[in-house]
Amino acid sequence: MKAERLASLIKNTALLLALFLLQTGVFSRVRLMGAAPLLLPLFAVGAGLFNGGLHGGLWGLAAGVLCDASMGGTGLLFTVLLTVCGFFAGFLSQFILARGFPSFCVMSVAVLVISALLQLFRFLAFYGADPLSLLLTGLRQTLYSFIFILPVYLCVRRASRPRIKGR
Amino acid sequence: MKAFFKKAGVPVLAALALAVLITAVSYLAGGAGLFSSLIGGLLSPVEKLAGNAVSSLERVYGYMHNYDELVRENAELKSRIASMEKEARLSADALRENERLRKLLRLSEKKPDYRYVDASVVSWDASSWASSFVIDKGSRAGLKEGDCVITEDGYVVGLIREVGANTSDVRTVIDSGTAIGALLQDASITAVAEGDFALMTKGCLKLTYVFDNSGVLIGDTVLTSGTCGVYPAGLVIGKVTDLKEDRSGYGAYGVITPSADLKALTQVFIIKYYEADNES
Repeated sequence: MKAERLASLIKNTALLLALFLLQTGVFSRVRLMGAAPLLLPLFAVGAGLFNGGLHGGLWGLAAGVLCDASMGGTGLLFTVLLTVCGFFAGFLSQFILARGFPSFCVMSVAVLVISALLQLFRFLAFYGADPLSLLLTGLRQTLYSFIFILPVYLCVRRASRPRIKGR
Repeated sequence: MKAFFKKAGVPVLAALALAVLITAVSYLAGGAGLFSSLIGGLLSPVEKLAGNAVSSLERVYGYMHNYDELVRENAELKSRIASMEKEARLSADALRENERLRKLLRLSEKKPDYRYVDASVVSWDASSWASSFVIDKGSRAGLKEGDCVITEDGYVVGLIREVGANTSDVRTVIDSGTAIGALLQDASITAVAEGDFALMTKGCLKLTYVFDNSGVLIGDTVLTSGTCGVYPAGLVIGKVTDLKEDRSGYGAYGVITPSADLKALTQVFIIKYYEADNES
């Protein structure tokens, strides 16, 4: 059991770092109409869904810290948001939600929309930016991130579940 | 002997006669060509086959005999190729850096009061809401918040927003938080070049607060005016590539495309000191 947990910890850590590198090193340059995708929030949701509330919160915290580190001017927005989301996803998966792709998809979209709205709000409230431009940027970011929902789901599921022998 | 010639005398004589006849015919027909070619024609496929077999055997033998040597040689050649490729890469990098420094030297001749620090771009901001990047120099290299960042050609890249010990965060000119006192080179019209959310996604910025809109033309070069005290005067921001009406319909603004190729940035130069900057 301990070995399985350790393996899961190592796999999840490797996945988190890989997603961080992809988000900062690759997709910060490969933009879609000026928007970059968010991968770490998807990881936080997946980690919560497959590892439960407590571990989800911890993985969310790690993902949030990395996410804030990769972006300027977000303060602790993602640290707080992803911790809550990881915990919440884990909590719901323990009591209400099934640990499948539909649940992951719905929760990921919700987190992506919340992230975009919170980022948008900062610029709307403090910088008086054009609301339409902000909404378009938020929409592009959410849509671009949406492409990665299935690959991230498969990776997190593989990293979090122990491999059954004979398969 | 008598008995032999009695028995085989006629065939031997016939064979000798045939041989003499062939030799004579060959000689009369132009040397030994006919006979040789006949023999050669019959034997050449066999010779070829034998030659190929020998070559194959030689190759197999050579391969087996020299295998270890070949492996060693192969490893050595691979290592040499890797080393040469590394050298080629380094030399290409050095050439590019050399070119950039040459350009900077030309800029230094024009602006002798500028003091620069060079830095490399480490990473770009992963956010969709900002345009900024991290460089590999910080307060230890003498950088401070608000220092102006340019390319080797003297094109404005942006401004240092945050400084760490060994890294700094640079906000580019197209970021929505940017506002630079600007001057149109040809018309000497003052304005403000500022970042705009909608234009940032297209890699452009806005030329606003133009007091005489009629004087702004597409293709005008926009320079820093130096009035805000952050950017030195006379640095190139970009060119006016479009003129648009603002949403209210009462005013107009220009769209500036930065002269610095922000997507291709690898090395930048930070102006640590210039004459108007007496505090530095």
